Amino acid sequence: MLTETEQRSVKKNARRALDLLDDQVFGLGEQERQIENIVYDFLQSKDGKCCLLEGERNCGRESTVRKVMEKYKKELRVINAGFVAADPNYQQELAREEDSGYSIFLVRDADKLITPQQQKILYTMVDKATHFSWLVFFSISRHDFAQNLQKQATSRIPKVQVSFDTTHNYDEYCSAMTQFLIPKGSKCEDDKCYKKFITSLNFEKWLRPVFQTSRFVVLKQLAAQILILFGYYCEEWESSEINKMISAIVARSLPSYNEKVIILKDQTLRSQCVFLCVWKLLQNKESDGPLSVPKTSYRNVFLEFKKLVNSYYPPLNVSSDIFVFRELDHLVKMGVLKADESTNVTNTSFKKVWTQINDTVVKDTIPQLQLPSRISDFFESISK
Amino acid sequence: MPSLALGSEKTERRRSTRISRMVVPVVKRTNTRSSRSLHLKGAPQRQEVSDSSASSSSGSSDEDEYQLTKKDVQDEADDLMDYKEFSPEIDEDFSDSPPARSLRSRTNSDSSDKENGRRRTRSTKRAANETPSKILAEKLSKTSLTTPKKSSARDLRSAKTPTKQKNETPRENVQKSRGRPRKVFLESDGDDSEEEDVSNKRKNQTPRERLTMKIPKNMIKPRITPVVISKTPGGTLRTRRRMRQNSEELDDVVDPLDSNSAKTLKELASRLHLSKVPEQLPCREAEAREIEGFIREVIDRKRGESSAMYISGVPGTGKTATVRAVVNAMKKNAKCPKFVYVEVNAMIFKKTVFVEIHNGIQEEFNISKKSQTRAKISASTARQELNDIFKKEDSKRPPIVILIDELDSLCNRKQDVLYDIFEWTALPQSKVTIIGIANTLDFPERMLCQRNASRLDKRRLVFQPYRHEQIQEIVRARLQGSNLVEKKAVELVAKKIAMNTGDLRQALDFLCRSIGVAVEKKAEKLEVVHVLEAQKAVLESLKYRLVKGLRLHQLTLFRAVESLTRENEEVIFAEIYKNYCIICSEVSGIEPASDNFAYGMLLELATTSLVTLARGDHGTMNRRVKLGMTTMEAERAIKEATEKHKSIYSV
Repeated sequence: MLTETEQRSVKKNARRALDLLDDQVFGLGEQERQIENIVYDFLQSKDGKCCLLEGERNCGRESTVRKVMEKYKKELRVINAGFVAADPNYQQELAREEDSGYSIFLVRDADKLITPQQQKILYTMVDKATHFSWLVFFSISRHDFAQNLQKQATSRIPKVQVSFDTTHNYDEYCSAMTQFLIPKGSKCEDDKCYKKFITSLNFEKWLRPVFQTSRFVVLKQLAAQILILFGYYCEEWESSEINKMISAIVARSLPSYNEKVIILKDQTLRSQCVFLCVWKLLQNKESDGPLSVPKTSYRNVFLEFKKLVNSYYPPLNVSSDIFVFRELDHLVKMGVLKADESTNVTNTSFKKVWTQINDTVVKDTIPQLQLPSRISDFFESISK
Repeated sequence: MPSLALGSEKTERRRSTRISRMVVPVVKRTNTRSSRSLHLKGAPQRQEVSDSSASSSSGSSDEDEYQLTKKDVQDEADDLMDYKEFSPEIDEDFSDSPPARSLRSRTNSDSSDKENGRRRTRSTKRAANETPSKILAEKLSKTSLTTPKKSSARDLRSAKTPTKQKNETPRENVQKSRGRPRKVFLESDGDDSEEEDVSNKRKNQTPRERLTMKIPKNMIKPRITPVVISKTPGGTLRTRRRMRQNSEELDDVVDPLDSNSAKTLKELASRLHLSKVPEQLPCREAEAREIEGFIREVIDRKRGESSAMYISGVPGTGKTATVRAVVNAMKKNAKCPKFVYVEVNAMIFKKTVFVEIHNGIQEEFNISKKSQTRAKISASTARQELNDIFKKEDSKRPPIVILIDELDSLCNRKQDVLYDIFEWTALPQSKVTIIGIANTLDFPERMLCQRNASRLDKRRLVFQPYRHEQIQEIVRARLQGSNLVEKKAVELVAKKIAMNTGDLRQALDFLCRSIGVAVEKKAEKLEVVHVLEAQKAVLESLKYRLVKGLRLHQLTLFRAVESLTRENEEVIFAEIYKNYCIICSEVSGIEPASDNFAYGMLLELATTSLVTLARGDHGTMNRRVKLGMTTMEAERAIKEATEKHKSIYSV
């Protein structure tokens, strides 16, 4: 439990760290250096140039370029390829644009320009970059970007590239988290109380699953949520309470997080039973073909449901199949089931339905559902 | 907010365009005609003349315009105040202007031409029986004129706040470019007095003025330049020419062949830049001769007639550059008969190709009788007009040579665009010659219908890919005299490129990259080692790097996809997830992610096209997945990635 002064200090420093969080880029020093070299050369020679920034989405390309631009106090013109691709006039406007000194561009999602129709924009940009003082950064993620280019564009696009595929180990990942929470060179670093509090969070213990699935971007989001919590919303400063709140935040980024199961847990008893009937029917069913999952029909689900309620739980009985069908439609809408929605199904009874959740996951979920013990026992015995 | 901190010429230019855009409403009140003329970027001077004639003829309509309500009068007075206050922005010394001059007369003033003298007298006369707004404006102008010169100059300075710029009229813009009284200009130097004046100034301010907040310059964020798109379309060559002129004005262009200019590798890299094309292209002499012969033939005063030529060749073999070089040389040659040359890149100006051709010709020779401004003409009008013009015989019209780059992009199903263009060459009186450039050797036969193909059949020219000796020669010509580059390095680059494509652009780019490597290593000379390193940097394909960068779970999922797609080309997600769970628990020893999370990871893999997803909504479990590369490549990538992962995840 923290004293009031300590609480105040943590709050103040968390807010400070949150303000600084946006500008923090971690582990991209080499890339920053390369981009800086390119920008410096360009500003010196004013020779037009194109450069590919390769890497996965959210790997920090734009942040790095912006950081360099800030250093040189230059403006960056950002073109969103997704929007541009939808605008038929943009290419014309770009083509008519005249040389106004020098410009530095960043084309976001340049992958979208590889369709034959959009390559005109790409061609225009690259051609202009040859004759004008334009420095164009293309953000690309697809590995087949170069292969899909037309001949003219391939010839014009230079092979200057900055690769953003960095790998890092767990220690680096944890130190990045520390840096996000205690920014280097800030006042937070001087506050011993705040530092002690952050160390007491022991994130080395629970961060590993996040490390196995996500990059720094998720880590930054986590850090932001934790800082918002400490800076603004935290009222209970008991360590157990804090741990609870943090684990609630982190749970969403963990690989075990499953939204569909949460939805399923939220359904009514009848809905859950209908879902489990579908699951039971599909358990040992052969699929229709090699490229499809096993399916069952609405009618079969109704019969199965009838059987279940008659033998285990009569209060759940329905007078008509329409009630079961409605439940099925509702579950389809919720996304836990999928139904054949093609127009040629005229009779609802023969409509095909199948689950959107893996059967092992369902098996693990059954004990967590609040079902009457008889139904629960029945399904658990099936799953075994 | 406009940035005021910058004082460079470019910013000035940009600001002036901004101002000219902003002022439109103010001008509208004084003269609708002149405001319209401001939109036309073409010829402001001419517009001014027509403006004066218009105002003299439409005096009555002007009177109507001045029947304003009380509110308008107040507004106008405010505007006038603003105008007074901001006049320093344009550095005009108002103490010299005659006191009776109204706002209108001033906005129309043009000290250099006769029209203005007349206009001024007219406006002075009119001042006697003006509308209330005019009278008020006049009073205000008088009061401001009686204030000491220095304070007016200060006022002027303070007007540099961005909010005020909006009130500047376009006419002021014109005045701005004219000679400025030295005195005021000098006085207005220095920004320190700006802030201390604020309190003094406040007393003399109008209510509107007082409401306007003054922001210190240092607090104004540098303005992000909006995308300034010129209304004037320009073909590639024209814009290039203009650009070259501009750059020549600013500083001397470094001659790429001047061996003394490059002392470091960086300067050398600049010489290899694609935009620095030498005047004479080495290794393309024969082609240049043929093109020159062809152009000479068609522009011959006695025997010349319309014709067409088709130039083909792989990218980066100097097709466009050779034609440009030949035309430039011919244009410089005084003995050569005059001809109009237009260049259009059909890939860039696909929809407006006729507008480009029309404007290109119009720039050199007045073909259109209608006084249509260049920017205004529509594609269909330009097409119609060109067709009409070329049908008629005009002895005064010089021969026209049109270069259409990337000709194949004009090819549509109907081929009507190409037909229209080639139709001109069929008319003997048109004196139009088309030079079409494309990559495919047999484009006319393969893509064009007979009527179009037959027109292109007359002349053909093929640009062969460069051989390695040629690439070396070209590079040597660009580096002439420089001993900073090892001969063997150039040879290696030339051979590597010649073996693949023979594309000079790639060769130059390769050399530039090699120079980049050498500079990074702080080497003084470009050596073979640097070339090899530059090649190595791009050798590793992105797919391998992407797979290496995958996180543990993503890599496991990718492995699952890879192992399943060995037998079948396509698999569904349900299968992949099952396989993934097995690999997780049995091979990697990690807890598998939930199906929902795994699907998210699959989507992430699809954004980098490591896997491709089939379209259609059959639910997540039924989503069909393919591998985004061959199984062999995937296997290799996984092998490399697992090696790397061993150390990271200790799995």
